[in-house]
Parts: sequence; C-alpha cells; structure tokens
Amino acid sequence: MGRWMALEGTEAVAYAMKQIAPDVVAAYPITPQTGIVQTFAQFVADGEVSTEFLQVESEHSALSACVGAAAAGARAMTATSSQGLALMWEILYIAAAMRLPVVMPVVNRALSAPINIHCDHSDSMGARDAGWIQIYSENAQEAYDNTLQAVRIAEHPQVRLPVMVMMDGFITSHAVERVWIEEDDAVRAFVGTYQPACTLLNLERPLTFGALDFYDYYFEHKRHQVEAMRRAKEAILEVAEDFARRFGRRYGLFETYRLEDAEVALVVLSSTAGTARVAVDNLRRLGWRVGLLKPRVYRPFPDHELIEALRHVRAIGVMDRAIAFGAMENGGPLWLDMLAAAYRHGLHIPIANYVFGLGGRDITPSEIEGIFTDLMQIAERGMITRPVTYVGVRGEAPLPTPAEWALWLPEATIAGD
Amino acid sequence: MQEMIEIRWHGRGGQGVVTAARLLAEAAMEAGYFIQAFPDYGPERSGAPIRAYTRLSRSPISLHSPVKAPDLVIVLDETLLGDPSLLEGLKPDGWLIVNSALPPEFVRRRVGGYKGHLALLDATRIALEVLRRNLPNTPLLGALARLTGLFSLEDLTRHIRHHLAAKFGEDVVRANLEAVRRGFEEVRIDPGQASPGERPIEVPSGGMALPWFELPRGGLILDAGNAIAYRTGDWRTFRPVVEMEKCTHCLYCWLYCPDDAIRVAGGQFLGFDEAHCKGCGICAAVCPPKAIIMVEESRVVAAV
Amino acid sequence: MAATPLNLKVLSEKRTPLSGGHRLCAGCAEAIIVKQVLLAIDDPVVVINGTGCLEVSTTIFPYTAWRVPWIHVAFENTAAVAAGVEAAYRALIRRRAIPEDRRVVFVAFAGDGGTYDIGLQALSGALERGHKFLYVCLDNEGYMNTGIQRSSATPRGAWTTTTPVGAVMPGKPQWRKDLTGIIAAHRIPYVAQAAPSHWKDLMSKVRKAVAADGPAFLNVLADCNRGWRHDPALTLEVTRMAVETCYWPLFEVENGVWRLSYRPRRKLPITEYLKLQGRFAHLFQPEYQNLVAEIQAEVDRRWEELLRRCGEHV
Ligand SMILES: Cc1ncc(C[n+]2csc(CCOP(=O)(O)OP(=O)(O)O)c2C)c(N)n1
Ligand code: SF4
Ligand code: SF4
Ligand code: SF4
Ligand SMILES: [Mg+2]
Repeated sequence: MGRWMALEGTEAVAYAMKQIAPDVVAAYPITPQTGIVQTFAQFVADGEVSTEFLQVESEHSALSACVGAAAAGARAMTATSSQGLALMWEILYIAAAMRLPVVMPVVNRALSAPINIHCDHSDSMGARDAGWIQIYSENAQEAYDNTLQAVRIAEHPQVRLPVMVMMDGFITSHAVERVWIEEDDAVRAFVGTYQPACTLLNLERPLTFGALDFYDYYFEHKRHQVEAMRRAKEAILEVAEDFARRFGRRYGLFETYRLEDAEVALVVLSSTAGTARVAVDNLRRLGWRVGLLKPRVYRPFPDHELIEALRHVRAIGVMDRAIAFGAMENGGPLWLDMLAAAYRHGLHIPIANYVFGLGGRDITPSEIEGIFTDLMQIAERGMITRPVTYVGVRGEAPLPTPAEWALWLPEATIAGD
Repeated sequence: MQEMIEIRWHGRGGQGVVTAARLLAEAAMEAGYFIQAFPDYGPERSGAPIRAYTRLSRSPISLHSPVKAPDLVIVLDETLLGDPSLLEGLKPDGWLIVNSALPPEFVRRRVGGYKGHLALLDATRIALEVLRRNLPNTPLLGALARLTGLFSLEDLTRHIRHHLAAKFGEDVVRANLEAVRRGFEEVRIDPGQASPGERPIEVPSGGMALPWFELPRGGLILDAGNAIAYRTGDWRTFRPVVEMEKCTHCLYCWLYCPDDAIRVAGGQFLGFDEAHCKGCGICAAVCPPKAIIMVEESRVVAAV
Repeated sequence: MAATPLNLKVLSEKRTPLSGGHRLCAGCAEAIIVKQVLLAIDDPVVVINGTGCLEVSTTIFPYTAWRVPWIHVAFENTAAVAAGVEAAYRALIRRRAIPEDRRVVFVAFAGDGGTYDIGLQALSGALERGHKFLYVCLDNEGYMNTGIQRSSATPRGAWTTTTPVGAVMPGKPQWRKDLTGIIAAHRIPYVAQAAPSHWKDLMSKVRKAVAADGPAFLNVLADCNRGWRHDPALTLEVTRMAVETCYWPLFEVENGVWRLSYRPRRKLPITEYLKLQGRFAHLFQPEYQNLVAEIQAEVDRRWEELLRRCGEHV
C-alpha cells in the first residue's frame, strides 16, 4: 500500500525519481528546483537509490550527459528551472531530434532580466516548440503522478520523445501538501525497465548517433519527428489509463470543472487552475454559468479535443503566465494556440487573453472573478474590446467586478435591442 | 539574349570556383545585368568536387532556388569530366564549357557521349603562362564574353582594370587583361548536334533517397563503416604509383594514409584503393625508400 | 591477454576504425590521429565526437565512416556527453543490463575550438568529477570546420580568417593558451602531449591513458593543410618540425610527475617550422623580424620551463 506524506512539490518529484530509480541523473541546482536535486542527493547518499548521480557543472552539461546516457541505453533524468532551461536550449532540440526519452521536471520560474526567482511560465513556454512533450501539473500530487507517467510516455515505442513535467515555482514546489506516495514495487512495476534496441553500448552492432544531414535528409528526419509527436497523444492516454487502473487516479489531456452547462469558460494551466476553481464556485453561487478547463498536456497540443470540450460556450478566456513578445497583440502562447485551434475547428466565438502572474505576481480568486465578469460582458456583446488584458498591472485599466456586472447588465440588454 | 541565363560551375574545393561564379556576375553587373552568384555549401573539403552558380538577368531576380536547368555548364577541372551529374539538367541548346587542352572528341567521350554544344579553353595553360599561377578563372571570363555575348571584351577590360587597379600594380592588371584577351581568342567552339527537346543525358538525381517513414529513428545510421560505398577517388588530381621492387613493406604508408586507401594483407603492401585515395601524397612523402611517386591524374586518365 | 605489439605488421591486421569514403580534406591529420589512437586500444571503444571537421566529414547521412559506436551531440559538450555515456555504462553494469566483464573504453575527440574555448567548462567539470574516459584534443590551432578562424590555440603571428594580416595587424596578436598545463592542473591521473609523426610515442601514451584510473587527456597536434596552407603531402614533415623546434614538445604528466618523452638532438630554430606554412608566410617579410624573434623567445621560454618541470637539464 502507498501512504500519505506531507511533502513539498520538489520533494514529491524527488520521491518519484527515487522510485523510478533512473540509471543516470545529471542535474544542476537552481531556485526553485533546488529541492529536487538536494532531496535526491540525500536519497543517493543514504543508499536509497543506486542511480549514477552526476553533479555536473552546468545545466548545459546536465542535459548533454542525459543525452549521452540515454543514447547509451540508460534511463536518464534531469530537472531545472528558468535560466537553467534557457541554458539547455541548444540541447533540448537535440534530445528531441535524437529521439531520446529523457524526463525532466521543470519548476516554472520567470526568466531574467530582471532576475526573478518566482513563478511564471516564460521558461517552459519558450521551449514549447523544441520537440518535447510538455505536461503541466496543478499541485504536488499531479507533479508526482505526471513524473511517473512521463517515463512511460517518453519510452513508449510509438513515441520515444523527451518529456518535461512542469510545476509552479514556489506555489507548488515549496508548498507542503498531502501527497499520496505509491508503493515502491508498484511504481517499479508501472514504469518497467527501459530496454532500447539501438544503443551506443551495443558493441556487436556499432551505430552512429547524431550524424550530419543535408537538405536531402534533414526534412525527412523532421517529418519522422512530427509523427512521434502525433502519436504521443494516444500514448499519453494509454499510459494514463494504465495509471488509473493501477493507482485509481485518472488523467486525460485536460481536465474540466463545471464546464458542461457553462456559458463562459476559462482555460488556465497549473496551480492557477486550482484558484480558478474557487472563483468558479463563488460565481456559480451567484447563479453565473461559468466553467473551467485546465490543459494538462500542452505539447502535443490537443487542439481538437479542447475545442470540442468548449464548443457550447459563448466566450472563452485564456489565462497565460507568459508573454509571446511581438506575437499577435503581445498575448500569451496558450491564447495564440487556442485561437488557432478555434479557427481550425470552426469555433467562431470571442476568445480573450488574460496575461497574469509574471514574476510570481499573486493571482487571487477575486481577480479571476473579474476575468469571468469581463468574459460575461464579452459573451453578451459577442465581441472583444480588449483582446489582451495584463491582469493586476499598475497603470492598466482594471477588470470589472461582479458587482459592476450586475449594474451593467440591464443597460447592455437595452443597448442590445 | 533570353530574359535570364543560368550557369553552373563545377570545380574542386580550393580552385576558386566560387570566385569564378562571382567574377562573372560582377562583370555582367558592370554591363547592366541583375545578378546572383552562390555556392553549394557542403562539408566538402579541398579537392572535393564542388559547384557554384551564376544567374544573370535583364530584370531583377527574385528566384532564390538552386539552378536546375542551366544554360551553361562550366567545368574548371577536366578530372571532373567523369562526374555523372555534370550534365544534369543542362538545356538541350545549352553549352558545356571545359577548361581543357584535350581534343573535343575525347571530352565528349569522357562525358558519356555528349552531343550538345561544347567549348574548350586551355585556361590553365594561359593562366600559367600569363599570370604564372593556376588561376583559370580569368581566361575563362574572356571565353564567356565571346560565347555568350553578354558583355563585350571592352566591358570586361574596363571591369577588370577597375577591379584590380585598386589593389595591384600595372603589371598585374596588364597580365590579367592579357589572360582575358587570350581566353576570348583561343576558345575552341565545337557546336553539337543536340536537337531542341532532346536531353543530352539523363542522370537520376538523389541517389538512395528514402521516404521519411523508412528512415531509422532519430537520425541513426545503422550500417557501420558504410562510407566505404562513397567514392572519394574522384577528388584526386594526383595519384600514387608504386615501384614494387623498391617497396620494403615497412607499412608507413598504411599508417599515415588518412583515407585508409593503402591495401595491405599479411603485413605486405599490396597497392592503393583507387575508390578512396584522394591523392594527398602523404604515402609518397613518408615512404622511406621513395617507392611511391605521385603522377598527374589527368595524364593517367588520358592514357586510358 | 597481452596487448597487441606496437608493430605495424601486426597492427595492420586489425580492422581500421575509420573507413575510406569520409570527406575530410586530402591529407588531413585528424584521420591519421584517430587511426593511431584507436588502433592502440585493444578493448572495444565507444567514440564521443564534438562538432568540428572530424565529425562533419565522417558522418554525412546516410554514410558513416565509423566502424565503432559513435555519437555526436554538439560542439561545446563533448566531455559532458562522454560523462553521461560513461555513467550509463556503470549504471547498466550495476543493473546487469550489460555483462559485468564487458570492458569498454570511452574516447572523446574534439577540436581545439571545442576544447580550449567553448568546451573548456564541460571538460573541466568532467575531469574534476573523475569520469573514466580518454579525451583527445585534435589541436589544429583554429576553427577549421567553419573556415579557419582563430582559437585560443592559434599561435601568435598566424594568419586566420579572423586574424587576417593587414596594415596594422600581423596575424593573431596573442600567444596561444597552454591548455595541457591547465589540464595537468586538474591533477587527473594522466595528461600528455603527442604528435602523429611520433606514432609509437602517441600510441604508448594512449595505452597509458586508458590504463589510468580515471580521466586521461591527450593533446595532439593535428596538422591542417588547408588552414595552415601547405601541400598536403607535407603533413607529417610539418608535424615533425613542430616537435624538432620544440614548438610542440612531447611530454606526459603521470600522476603529477612530469616527464619529457622526446628531446631533439639539436633543437631547430622556429623558422624551420614557420617557413613550411603559408599561414606564417608574412612573417618572413623584413618588418616582422622582431615578431619572429619574439616567437622564438617564447618557444624557448616555454621549452625551458618544461625542461625544469620534467627535471631535465636546461
Ligand atoms: C554553439 C556553437 N557555436 C558555433 C558553432 C559553429 N562551429 C562548428 S565547428 C566550429 C569550430 C570547430 O573548431 P575545432 O573545435 O577546433 O574543430 P576543427 O574543425 O578545427 O577540427 C564552430 C565554430 C557550433 N556548431 N555550435
Ligand atoms: S612506405 Fe613505401 S616501402 Fe613502406 S610499405 Fe609503403 S610503399 Fe612500401
Ligand atoms: S595519396 Fe597515398 S596517402 Fe594519400 S590518400 Fe592516396 S594512398 Fe592515401
Ligand atoms: S580543414 Fe583542416 S582539419 Fe578540416 S578536414 Fe581540412 S585539413 Fe582537416
Ligand atoms: Mg581546430
């Protein structure tokens, strides 16, 4: 049997890593990921896990060592945040293109400058097109569960791609929560052993890894990589299914909350989804038909599934904890993807963007209620006046409050006649 | 002239192929053309066959794709005549222009029985005589002025003077002008019989290109040492020849050959692997009894 | 099992690690060095190669010239990748995914750019952590793959495309970095400098290196005829001159003990080395006489320092 433990998010992930017992872990400390490295180092020191633990001299080397180890046939993991992920950038693409199933928990933190150690999603969002599968976790339990599943997804024979598992810096990484930790043996049985056919250490059949391609092959190899990403969706669900069967916790590509009869919906990743649930409940109590969708898998982007789940609503709000500078309206990446998906699948309703929480700026239920209020107005008007709102930024026009909505409603009805 | 002329240059790394493509473009620019000159960028090293391209047009060139159907194919090095891709896409009424002293029949035979328009110029000899360096580009420019009528010899003279006078003395300028003039005069024209629409030669391009779903995952190469199937023997301009009587089978040549092109069995030197020897001359240089000498490849080819 | 004797007749019976059909320049010393290094090792090897001429020219998809397992990941991380591969090997033995008695030697090859410059951090880290592998720097004194740019291994006065010779610049203004010394300061079990012209010395060093209990480093002078601008046939002659002028001394540092491997009977003036190469051609113009004298003085200074370290009479 498993057990409840009071763990910080980073500790929960370190526990997952201990139970996975990767052959090689190469990592470098950075706030707020440090807890993972330190906790894991203690497990190694106590002989609780027999991983080759490389305390490398940089994140660039951490991921490089993982690439080497994975090519050699080992199960390899690392973990990072922010600047560390940025330093890995070059090797992110290589790990994906070499189709090496490295698993990497990422504790989301803002990118410099100004240097800031707190949560936002600029780091992992910057890596969204690097060819890694990206899974976002709401809390420590999800981070633990997703880390276990990531190993299976990455190594899935139809996939063989690296996976990032995100959790929010400090909010999740440093908060102690009740986490159900599964039995070691059960985890071991779930993750299985990694036995790739083609490895660098196969001396009978010497292979060449990482050759040079010209225009005559590069594109075909990229097309091959696309196929892996395409198949990943199915593999993620297959792994989730097995996970649910063994451990009873069910995961999909995304999760919805009171969405079935909602008029307006909010789409938001990670820990903020939990806060948004409180806002939904508050507004539901007032009789507002609001709902929530929390994507779990961001890459591959489940465009069709997301749009089908939202087809019945009148307006959508997308919350982004990152800015895609210079992109349309300087909005956030999730919003841009949602707009593209809606267009692609013929959903023609207003979709507004709410950029929030950069550099660890708090986001409260009442602010999210403001977002819902704005969305109600948008739904009523059938159009958007402010496509992107930077929530809670001094100097920006504030969002309406639910109380204002009550005043505004009859007037709008008249105007709408 | 037609609206646009496309030219493909063939030479070896280090022979100034890229410069040649550029020089022609610059000369044409002086004569009022819109131009493009670009190389094929590859990992190929000195001695390896390489290509460059020139496009000349009366109107601005917006095309940015490789030249697929050249009007002219210019070969700077006659040891490349056996290259099966030499005539790839050459227009039926296009011209093959070769830096060579060989007779036209011989060149045609080396190029797989080519029947189209051919022009020959011994640019290397002119360069060596006039410039005292193996720079065949300059005489070739003269030949091109004559063949294409794109610009006059006077245009070219003005351009070269302008181009060189800033950096070099009058002797150098004059020698270059002389090289151009001789190229203009000495080019040998051997019109072909290609009828419009007939492709001189069909070359399958792309080799063993596989569709994406047949490639191994992650860019792996499964077949260790399969580069042996890739010929580098045609990079050679000199080839090693051994006098077996002198050989002591010390195997220094084997140790130092960078291309694994010394054949050895049972500790005995057997000869050279012609498919891969690049003609570097190291074996000859390190052979203690001087049993190996290097001879010019074109002589060997001509003797075949 | 006794090691294969360092005898060419016997060695020539071994399968060469690198096939023909690679696309290094005619006469490139990198291929010669790879052959000497890998033929010296009797155990199976796995090669880790950083970006550079060797990597680019030997594995052009769908062709590979390597007959041994080989991996390339990037430019600056050769030692980190090697560390990962070596760690994987230890882990896989421990979980019995590969047999315990399977001996494998890990050999990393990278250029001077990938070693002296951009990869120095990853190398230093891997050496400090003590991974058991042999790192071979193919030191051709420049970034040759990108078309002959200067590196911190480029010698003073040498022409490169980023240290061109001009009215106010005599080629590279700075002295080259003493990387071998820097690596020796890591106190790893084995560090040496070698040259392919002295093949037996090189191969014996490789053997000591792979027998060492921990990381080993070999800095090998890798003549690049294209970048150094000379006839490819002269490759071994130029290399030999580097040794005979004491520009590139052959020595080793075994467990902290410095030992000279070769002392020329008569130390030749540096001009004997410089004059063979086009990259130094400008130095023979009268205005650079002083620079040549400075170069000679620096070679002498570094040579004498080495002699003292090796306990040789100066
Ligand atoms: C991060 C990064 N920066 C630059 C390059 C471009 N680059 C590739 S190889 C190379 C130089 C290689 O020099 P060296 O390591 O000395 O090897 P050589 O080619 O001389 O053998 C450079 C600059 C790269 N591939 N990656
Ligand atoms: S180096 Fe000369 S003598 Fe020695 S084996 Fe080769 S050809 Fe014979
Ligand atoms: S010339 Fe000699 S050393 Fe050079 S590639 Fe040919 S056989 Fe090898
Ligand atoms: S440029 Fe130099 S190092 Fe690179 S392949 Fe050519 S000779 Fe070798
Ligand atoms: Mg170099």
